[in-house]
Amino acid sequence: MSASDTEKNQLVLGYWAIRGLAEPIRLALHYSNTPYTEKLYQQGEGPEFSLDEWFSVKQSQGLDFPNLPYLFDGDLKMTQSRAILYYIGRKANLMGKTPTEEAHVMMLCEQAHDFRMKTAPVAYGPEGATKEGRKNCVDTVISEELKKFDDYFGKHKTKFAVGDHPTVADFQLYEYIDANLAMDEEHTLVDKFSNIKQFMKTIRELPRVGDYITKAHAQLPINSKMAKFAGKVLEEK
Amino acid sequence: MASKDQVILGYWDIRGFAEPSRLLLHYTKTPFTNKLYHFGDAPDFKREEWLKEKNSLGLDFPNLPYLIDGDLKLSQAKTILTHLGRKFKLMGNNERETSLIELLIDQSNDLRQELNNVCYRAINFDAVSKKFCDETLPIHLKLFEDFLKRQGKKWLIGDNLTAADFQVFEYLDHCWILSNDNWAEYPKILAYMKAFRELPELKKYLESEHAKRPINGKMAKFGGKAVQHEEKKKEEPAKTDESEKSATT
Repeated sequence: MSASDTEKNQLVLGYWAIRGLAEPIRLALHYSNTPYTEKLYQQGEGPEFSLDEWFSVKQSQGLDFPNLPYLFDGDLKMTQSRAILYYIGRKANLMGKTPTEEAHVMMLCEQAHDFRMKTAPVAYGPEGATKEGRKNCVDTVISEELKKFDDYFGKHKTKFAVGDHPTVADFQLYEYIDANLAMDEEHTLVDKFSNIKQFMKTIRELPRVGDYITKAHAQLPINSKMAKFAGKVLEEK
Repeated sequence: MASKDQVILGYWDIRGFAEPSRLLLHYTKTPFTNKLYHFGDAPDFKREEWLKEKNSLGLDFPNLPYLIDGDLKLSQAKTILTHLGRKFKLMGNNERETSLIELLIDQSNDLRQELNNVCYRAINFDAVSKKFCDETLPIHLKLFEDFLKRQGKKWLIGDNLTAADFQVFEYLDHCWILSNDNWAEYPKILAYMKAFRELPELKKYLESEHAKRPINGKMAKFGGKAVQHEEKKKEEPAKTDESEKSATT
């Protein structure tokens, strides 16, 4: 990318130095070749896991509802991961081509968000600390939710999540499915869902996206440091 | 004019997460079928009425609430609200306004989720509820109060209602019903809610059907029946052991 400094500084995405809830936004930015500055807040080590790097500046960013992730774009300052994703989506023409497509894009993003939120308590809680706990989550909640998405792809037979062109739904789905699949330490679960497997491959083959994923996912953990699961970068299979 | 069968909003017979969309439909005088599902009685609170239909409505992700609008079939409360918002031009006049509306919808949803976690608690409800009212809720209220002050407009975004107003009003009202405080420190919020209640398009609905519908499901520890806001006199803090602080991210 040959963005000038002023261009690059126009958009600032602030978040923890993890994938978490910002990663779909990052994927959309990279796919659409949108220059931006990544502002990463580091978490402290255990046992305190200090969040001071963010908390010390939280109230002085000019945000109406201080939170992470945040996005600055010129004098627009916003929070809420999905609102940011949709904003980037509209800017980069990744919200579908019709009002109906737009509604489906948002529905998929919300559904994927629900999925991420369902398993987060496991990753951060006692269940996530044991192999049995993680396997139980994989065999129950994660399998059930993946089936819904697999059925969706089977029913609609589109190349991307909505229609035949990428939308932000692709990036939200990819990231949250990938984050949940990570809990399957046998790496066999995805083979049960051929439509999802194909979808994940399609997204990784998108220009700029595959390269970004390879680089970033080797450096950024899925979850925060205090998580019982995936608070550090997982080894590749 | 579309017939009632054109638009169907399906949800439990509660306010819950669907009421912002119901408010928008009433405000825009859109004929719609308010499809209501009922929980069974205690102790099982069976969901059969919904479960027997769930997989036969043609929804990609069967869930409540759902919206059927012609041949568009949606689930996810926020998606439904913003779809209706776009349809009725209540999503702002420019990009900045649209994003702010979506932000406010998400922010108020965060608050409502926290309220949900309190209201459905069977164990330790009193302590959890007190913590929410004394600690969590004031943080949220101050943010909205300051936001309204800074905006200095009649409604959240400007002088016209947007989809965000239906959600923010509704979810603040759910908190108001739980809270025993008079919110005297939040005059802008009180004025905002009063103005919303006086909207000619919604006044009658708010006083009747809306007021009679509970905010939560039957099985909730709080709000499973339609209740009113009650103010309690501020008491001396009780000398009890502090419960362990829960970790927050």
